[in-house]
Amino acid sequence: MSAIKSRTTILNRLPECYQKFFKEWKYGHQAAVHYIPVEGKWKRNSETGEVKRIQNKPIPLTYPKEFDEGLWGGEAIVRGFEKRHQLRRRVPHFWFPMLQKSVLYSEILDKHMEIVVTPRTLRLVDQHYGFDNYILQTPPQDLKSNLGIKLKRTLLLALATQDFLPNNTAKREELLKKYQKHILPVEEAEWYGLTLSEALEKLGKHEEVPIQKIPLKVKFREEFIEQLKEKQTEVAATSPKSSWTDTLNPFKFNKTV
Amino acid sequence: MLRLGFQLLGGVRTLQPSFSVKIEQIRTTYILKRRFPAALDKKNRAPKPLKTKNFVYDEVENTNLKAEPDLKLILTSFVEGIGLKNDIVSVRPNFGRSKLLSPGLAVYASPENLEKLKTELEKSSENIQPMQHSSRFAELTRRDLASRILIVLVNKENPWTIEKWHIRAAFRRSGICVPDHAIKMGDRTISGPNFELEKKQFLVTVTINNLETTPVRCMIRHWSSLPELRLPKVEGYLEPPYEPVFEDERQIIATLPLPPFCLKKSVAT
Repeated sequence: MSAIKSRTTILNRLPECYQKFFKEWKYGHQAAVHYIPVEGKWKRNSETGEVKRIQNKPIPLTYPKEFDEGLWGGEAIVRGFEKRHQLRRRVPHFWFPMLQKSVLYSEILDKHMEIVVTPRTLRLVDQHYGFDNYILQTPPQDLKSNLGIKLKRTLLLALATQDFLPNNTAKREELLKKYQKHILPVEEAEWYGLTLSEALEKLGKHEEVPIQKIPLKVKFREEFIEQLKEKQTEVAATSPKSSWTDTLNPFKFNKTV
Repeated sequence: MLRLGFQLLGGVRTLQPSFSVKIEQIRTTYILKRRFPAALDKKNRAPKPLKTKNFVYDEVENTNLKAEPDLKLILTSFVEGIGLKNDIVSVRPNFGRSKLLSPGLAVYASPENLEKLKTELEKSSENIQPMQHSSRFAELTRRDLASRILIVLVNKENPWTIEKWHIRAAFRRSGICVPDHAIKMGDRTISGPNFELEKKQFLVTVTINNLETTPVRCMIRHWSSLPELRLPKVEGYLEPPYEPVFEDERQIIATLPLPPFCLKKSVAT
């Protein structure tokens, strides 16, 4: 929570739909992949009868930089220890996911993509009956990686603007009917799946007011010309007939003035 | 571990690991469990930080070592050896993903797709289309028969005229059961014993499941039940060039695919 607090000032300026997405993505509860959560709230010890609260603390995961270029299906590196014998010192041990390159097909984008995945991702795609369904139905905190979020963004944008498959209208309408649950308003879809820096950039463009800079000399000149014009009209209105005395200027030859 | 190897080598820095070093990286997904569970957090307080001993894990299960269940797919077109169009098949997952789903030969058997298939089948039952393939293996059988050279053994001493049962017996000798109605002979008669016909080929037509047809090459070989009367052994008599019995069949015999053992030899050379 403290992490959210430190950024509230920036986040609060962003639209609500983005705030919701960002909080889900960064701080949402992830599905249990590397541990089996215990069900229920309380547990009674069968011998002593003592009741204890059940607490599922997720196993901390480590995300290397390669993580953002693949779809690991919720898996990541687990850093910990193994205690192989009761009387031996614990040994550091890393548990790595098994990564493989695989080709996945997106119906909406009509594209085959080579992506680094884990066997779990492939199984999840099968369970969702297709890649698009997997990406659209999985919450952002489980996709987690930048690639997953960007894919979801492109799919949502395509569904919102309805400009995919320009040559095949029949297929497009069929897909729009199939994925109608995931159709968002265009403004929301445009904010979905941006990183914080991208969102701030977009916000800056949004809030920016074009400032017209006019040099002061131009401004003053125009004012002066207007004043002169006003004077002329006044003079013309008040004294249509000017006497010869008006042309006299007593300070004409006074060079000191 | 590498350092251990160097120590065993007496501190000599070599790039080759010694035999005692075991470099193995098994990368799989694990389901883990804390050996020492974390302390309970207090209510309405910040959660307690984890201690080092909370990071000691035991393996519960390794999901990647488990066999994955089969995939259920609906075929969108005929796939040799797998099934006909609109068949629901269950295949091994990796095969299904790479060979069927990725090229678009199949779709997942999801409830929506199954319903769609049902309505489609109801529609198509009204206007019946002619079948293109009799079964999933028919095409494979047809190709296998076309690449075969059937050896028809005929008697060296007694007179004969080639009939259907000769062909049927020849097929049986090479392990294929072909009923009489599936064999179609040419109009011209072939009779002997005639040593000019030795190693020459003629064509018969075989029909599979009353649908697929293919010409099959038959090679005449003279045979005697007495070992001393048999013709001497010839090396590589099944290899091309092939001579036809009837000159007009020469082109078809040449265009049929070569038997697999010939292809292997040509690749090796």
